[in-house]
Amino acid sequence: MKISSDFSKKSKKLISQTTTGFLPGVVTVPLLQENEFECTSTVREGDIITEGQIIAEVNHEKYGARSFGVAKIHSPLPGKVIGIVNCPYPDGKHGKAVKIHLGGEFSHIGKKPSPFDWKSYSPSMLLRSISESGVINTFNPLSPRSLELDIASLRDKDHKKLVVRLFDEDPSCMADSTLCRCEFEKIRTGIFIAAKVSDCDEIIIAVDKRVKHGDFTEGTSLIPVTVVEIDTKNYPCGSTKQLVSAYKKQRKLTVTEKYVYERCLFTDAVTMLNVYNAAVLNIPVESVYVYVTGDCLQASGLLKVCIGTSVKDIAKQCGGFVKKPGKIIVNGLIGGTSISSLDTPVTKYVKSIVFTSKASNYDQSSSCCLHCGNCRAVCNAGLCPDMIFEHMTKGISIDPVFLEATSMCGECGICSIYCPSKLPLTQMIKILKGRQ
Amino acid sequence: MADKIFKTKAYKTVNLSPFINNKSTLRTCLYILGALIPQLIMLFVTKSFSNICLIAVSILAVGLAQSYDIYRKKNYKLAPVIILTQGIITGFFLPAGFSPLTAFFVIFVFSAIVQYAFGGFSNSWLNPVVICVAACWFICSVAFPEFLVTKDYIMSKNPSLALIQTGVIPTYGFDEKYTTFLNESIFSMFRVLIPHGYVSFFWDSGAIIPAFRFNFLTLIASIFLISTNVVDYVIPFLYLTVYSILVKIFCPVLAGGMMMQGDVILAVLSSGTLFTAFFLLQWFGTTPLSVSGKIVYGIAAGILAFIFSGCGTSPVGSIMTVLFLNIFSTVLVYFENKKRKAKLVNAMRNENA
Repeated sequence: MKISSDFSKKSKKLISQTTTGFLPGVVTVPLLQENEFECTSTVREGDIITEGQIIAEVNHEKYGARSFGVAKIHSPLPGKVIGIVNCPYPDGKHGKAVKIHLGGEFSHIGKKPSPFDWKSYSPSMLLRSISESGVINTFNPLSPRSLELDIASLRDKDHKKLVVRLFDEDPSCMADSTLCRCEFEKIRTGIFIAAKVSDCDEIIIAVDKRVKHGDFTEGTSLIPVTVVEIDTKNYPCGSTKQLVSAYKKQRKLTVTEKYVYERCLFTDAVTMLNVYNAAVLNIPVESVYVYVTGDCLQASGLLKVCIGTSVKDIAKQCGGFVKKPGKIIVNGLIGGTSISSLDTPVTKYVKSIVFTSKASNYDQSSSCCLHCGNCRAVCNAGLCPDMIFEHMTKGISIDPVFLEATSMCGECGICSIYCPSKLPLTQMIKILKGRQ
Repeated sequence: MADKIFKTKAYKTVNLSPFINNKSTLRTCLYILGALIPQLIMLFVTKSFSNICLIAVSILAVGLAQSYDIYRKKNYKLAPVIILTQGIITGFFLPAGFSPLTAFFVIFVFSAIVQYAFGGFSNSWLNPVVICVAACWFICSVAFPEFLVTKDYIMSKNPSLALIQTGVIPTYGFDEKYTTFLNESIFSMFRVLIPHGYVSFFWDSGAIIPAFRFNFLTLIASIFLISTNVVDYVIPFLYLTVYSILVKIFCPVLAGGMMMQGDVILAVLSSGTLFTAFFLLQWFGTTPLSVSGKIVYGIAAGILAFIFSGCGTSPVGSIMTVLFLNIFSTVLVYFENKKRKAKLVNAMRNENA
């Protein structure tokens, strides 16, 4: 565990409110919004669509029964479909997207929402509205998954727990923490809705111990709430393992971490806000909160933008560039992805975009392993990333224990941060984990 | 400008995360190289052209030895920095008067052996500088100086002062001025006075091996390297401490004298002890990886230094120390891995319990 300020500098100007972004003239809505399952467009070129209309659904024939529960994709704007195009995705991949030209009457934007009394709804009704609204779980933005699928995966378990992280795991991304400050009431309600839907015995709320939040128990249901305070000064601090460990320590439980872990549904503030919007306001996921920052931009902020808005439009909304960006990084500087085009649209799992100048980028070309031991010293799981890397790249035989132990890797990426040779250690371990 | 940026079609390179890093290999190597530059300048200033020639020859030999690897790896960005660093440090351990032709041949052959048989740069457990200098010493030991400290010197209370007074260690013109200044402004506060000659010894010992000479500059370089996190302080600190303690306690005993009468200043400022601590002891890939391993390594370095360099002024004591330490390091790494494995097995057992 390392002090995050050693390698990441948080913005001195803390953002205290969200800003609604401008409506773009054209949006490009990618058909792959969550891990693995690419949806199929239900609209065709020339179709006139309304705001919030379902424009893509998963093809169950293609993916089979495991795809039941995959989030639907809605139109963020009213308008006309001008084509099904190929476009770059924020996760670095390329794929199909629905291109929509703005036009017509809005259904939700600019209208006063009429809240429903969610307490009078049964869990199955709430789950249905979450499902219809296309809510995805962005706890791990690198591997987003439909919330309905996550809930379903815990269906047969007893003593279920809903774990909500109200801070960002990546210290360079401030979407969850800022959103929690701005929309606390809605997020709190979203937590109770999610707990009701998932039939949890306990709600665990992981908060930054340096930030004061409101009362989590005020006006709640009968489900007990445990607030776990986490020191976000250290990195990693917000992974599933760390949250379970902190909870176990606080509650002084004797059961194994694995026992708790298997019964937890891990979510974040963004997901809980989407749950609130879906269940209380009946608004599908049409927009996302994106933390936009970087030394190339005129201004930083937490923008509420329509899904499908291009990175270029977002940069324009932030006052444009003061210098040419060297890299555009989506979802944090530690585990994020460097995107290749300014035309990349925003998806449901985008939490932050950082525009860094060439001057602030460091040389990322890797050299040979120095055997400095930094990766071993910082690894939280006690792995030997250097040995694993040499085994994977040069075929040097190592004890199988070192390979098996990769299952304990939390993929925090700290080994790669501290590697002076910039070896892709995390990526290599991920590949190895995938093989096992 | 903004419009032009927005018209950019695509960024040519897409890199892997993370996009933050706290230090780089190139930076590490460049800083080490930078820390050597003042000493190189001093060689020019003191007109030590024989040493400069040997350093140039070393760089050439190391470069030639690595040329095949550079060609094979094509864009081998680190190569010039590594060649310069390795070549300069090797040259710093060769005595003035050593045949450049012999030096070139020996360094070329042994650098090539380390490069191709042991894996080169950070992959070799054997320090390439040490093996080259040790080979030079075995082939032409007459070119290296003898031990300056004899039994008589050890028996005297202050061997370094005796060496200064007999003119073995030169005293420079500026010495008196600076000694007086230091005595009056600093040492008088502690009621201590340093004799004349120590400032000269600290500044330039006048040894024919450059690595033994500029202790003050080495100390400044060490502060720079430690403060920039380029070198770890654990190993040099333990090496110097253990060696100093052993010298202080046991050195006179070796010559039949009293305990606790050893001359630490002579031991640290001669034989290239300081230079070895910061430029040689932590050569890439030759040290253990864990903190506990580094502690054992540092202590072992101190003990071996006492065995090979004794009370000081040893021509190749530091080289032999590092050579044996390299062998010991492989054993340490083996036990380190064993300990790590046991910890992982335990952790996995706990997780699956």
